[in-house]
Amino acid sequence: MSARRREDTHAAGFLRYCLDEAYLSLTRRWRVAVLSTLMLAAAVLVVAAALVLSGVLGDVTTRMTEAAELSVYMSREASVAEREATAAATRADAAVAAAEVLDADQATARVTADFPDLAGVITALPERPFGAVIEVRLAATASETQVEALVARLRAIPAVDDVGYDREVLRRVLLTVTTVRRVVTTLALLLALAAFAAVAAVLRLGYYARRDEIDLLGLVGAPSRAISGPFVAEGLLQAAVGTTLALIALRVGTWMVWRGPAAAWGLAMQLPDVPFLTWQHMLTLATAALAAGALAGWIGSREISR
Amino acid sequence: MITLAAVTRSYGQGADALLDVSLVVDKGEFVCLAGASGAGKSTLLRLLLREEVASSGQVLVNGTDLATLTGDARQAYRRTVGFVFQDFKLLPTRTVFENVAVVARAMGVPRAQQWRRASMLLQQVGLQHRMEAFPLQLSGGEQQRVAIARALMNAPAILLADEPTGNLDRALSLEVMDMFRDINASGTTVVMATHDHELITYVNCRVVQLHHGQVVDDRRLR
Repeated sequence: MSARRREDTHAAGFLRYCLDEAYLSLTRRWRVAVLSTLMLAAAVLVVAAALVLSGVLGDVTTRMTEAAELSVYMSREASVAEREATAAATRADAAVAAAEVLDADQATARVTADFPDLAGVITALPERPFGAVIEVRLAATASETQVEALVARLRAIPAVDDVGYDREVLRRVLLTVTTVRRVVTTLALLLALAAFAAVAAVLRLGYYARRDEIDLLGLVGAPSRAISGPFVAEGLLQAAVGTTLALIALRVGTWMVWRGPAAAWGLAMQLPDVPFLTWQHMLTLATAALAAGALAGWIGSREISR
Repeated sequence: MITLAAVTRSYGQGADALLDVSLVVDKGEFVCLAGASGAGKSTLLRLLLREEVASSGQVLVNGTDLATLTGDARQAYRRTVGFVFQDFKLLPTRTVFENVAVVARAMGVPRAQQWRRASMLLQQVGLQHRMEAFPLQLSGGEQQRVAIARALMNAPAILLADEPTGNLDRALSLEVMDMFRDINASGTTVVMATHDHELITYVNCRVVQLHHGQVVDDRRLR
């Protein structure tokens, strides 16, 4: 057997030793271990839910931003040539994705379709209440400065009566979304820290339960990795189980919410089917949880061996 | 092999466990550290295990100053030294085999290899048939024999023993001494602390007499 092979065999044996000891330690104090694993699962669940919520809110704001329209109300006296010139100038702007011209009849028809209760009043009027309207869809890449400049230019055209742009509403929605994201992220981080502390505390309890054994290992020459290894493995096991539980709970939870209370909202927002984490998010989350578990074990064992 | 050069171990003002001790132990020697309780025998052994560091002077083993060893270097050194404790220090929740192979297991040595070595050692101490027993199922003498097998697991060049028969009756004590003599006869240097003069006479070793932390006598029996 080559030296390299012998080294590999020892590495595998060492890994088995760490996992065996971690399993033994967790099963010896299973009640505390279950509690800390559940706490870790709760932390991962909140972080994962925050990511899902953030993704959904991101989708909603993207859709709202994409759907943000400018309505250019032409004066009733505006000629067809002025209307077409205004539309052409609008289409030529970099902030504009598309512009549709509705003549006075089409504009009236759209209002009566959108507000059927007003249809009777509008048709009873002696003359059409609206001039032509140019409905503008903004480019996804359009900055607020570009849009504001466009609005200013359009308002300066004499044939234009008014320009409607709901940027205040959109701004408020975006602000709310950002605040919600920050609150949820802060909450998730706090919970993650609490879970980290809980796992570290459980590992410390594990040390006290195995103190005689660890002291003996030190006296008979076991390397420091033989003392820290099982603690790191214990942290990793708790993180792996906690993350798996959290992801299953989140999957079931989002499915139930999306099929129940949030179904109508999801449809209204034209959001895709049951939202969930991407593979990349899941991988990142699992890696972070495992790293935190291992770190808690390593820090605990370092404090012990001091 | 072992050299103590003007070693003092002090625990504070006027509390010198060892005072200016100089000693040379050659390879293959059997040295008994004799003296009453508090004479400094256990402190000397703790220095040799690198559990403690001399306050002044040097403790050299095979030319290495033990004070310079820290972390994994210290642990690697300890694996070259076997230690038998008075209270055995066996793990009650582990089997005899697991107790003997405790370090090998922690090092990741393959189980078959651990089993072969532990079986051989337990056969030497007459306990091969108790490999799956737990320490509490064994008598005091059997427990100490397990502790001796554990100390020999890494084939140490030096075996240190601190009052290894302190918890055993006369017959078992002599049995343990026979084992130590056999171990020494195979080339292992043995340094044993004891206050039992009958045992010292029985094993016929070099006697280093300590009194209040100082060497007051150093002679070979016969």
